[in-house]
Amino acid sequence: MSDKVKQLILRVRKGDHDAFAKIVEFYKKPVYNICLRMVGIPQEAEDLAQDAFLRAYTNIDRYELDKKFSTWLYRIATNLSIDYLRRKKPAAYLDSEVPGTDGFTMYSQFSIDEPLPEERVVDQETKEWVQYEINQLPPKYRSAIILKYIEDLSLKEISEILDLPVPTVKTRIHRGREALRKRMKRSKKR
Amino acid sequence: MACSDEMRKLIGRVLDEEASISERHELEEHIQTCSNCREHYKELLSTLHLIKNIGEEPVPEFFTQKVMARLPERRVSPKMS
Repeated sequence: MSDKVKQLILRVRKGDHDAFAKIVEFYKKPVYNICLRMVGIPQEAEDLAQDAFLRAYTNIDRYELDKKFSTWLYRIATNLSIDYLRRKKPAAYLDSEVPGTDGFTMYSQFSIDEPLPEERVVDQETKEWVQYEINQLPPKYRSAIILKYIEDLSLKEISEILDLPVPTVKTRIHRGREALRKRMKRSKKR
Repeated sequence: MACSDEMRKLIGRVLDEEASISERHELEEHIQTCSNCREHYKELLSTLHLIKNIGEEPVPEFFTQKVMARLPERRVSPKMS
């Protein structure tokens, strides 16, 4: 961990709010984006990201200074997101029929064969589609995929964040990307 | 028909960047003749490309201020002034 962050944490422990504000500024982007990709809803992600910082603040004495701070912080954010997903009702499963329809599945909404719209629009649409597909993954695969491919973290860091051995992390990444491949192939975007 | 688990594992190793040069060659040669594995590999590559390129969204405005407004008082001695 950089000395700068370490100094800030020591100041936070002495009750220095300004030092904590600097930490929030420094880490808010990855923390918010982890929560956003985990839950897929911006408002919920913002609340979870705020909660993650609050939890970090109240537990700052428990943080071990010789460990990487971001790992500890991302672990809090990931756990809060997983708890949120467990609490809320499971999302409609992709393969299940939408109630009140005749053989209509969630997939069919994403398989419209139409010409490519303007590139900028495609970008946003593609993002929404990819997020939609991420949302269909079980949380345990979702977290591994997000930390690996969106946050670009090492297997070792992911294993510390998820508190799992590296081989288990690898299995989750493999299964997660295989599940995504299957879904994305079937819903084949435009 | 689907190829052996071994070939799927090899694809995994290549994607994880754990494969040796000769293993990469092995996969390249294999997918030239096996359309099944070629499709599988290409699909995984494009899936990962899409995931990696989803990008980061900007953090909502006043995020830090909102967090700071919610901070509880810590039970520590006041800072020395």
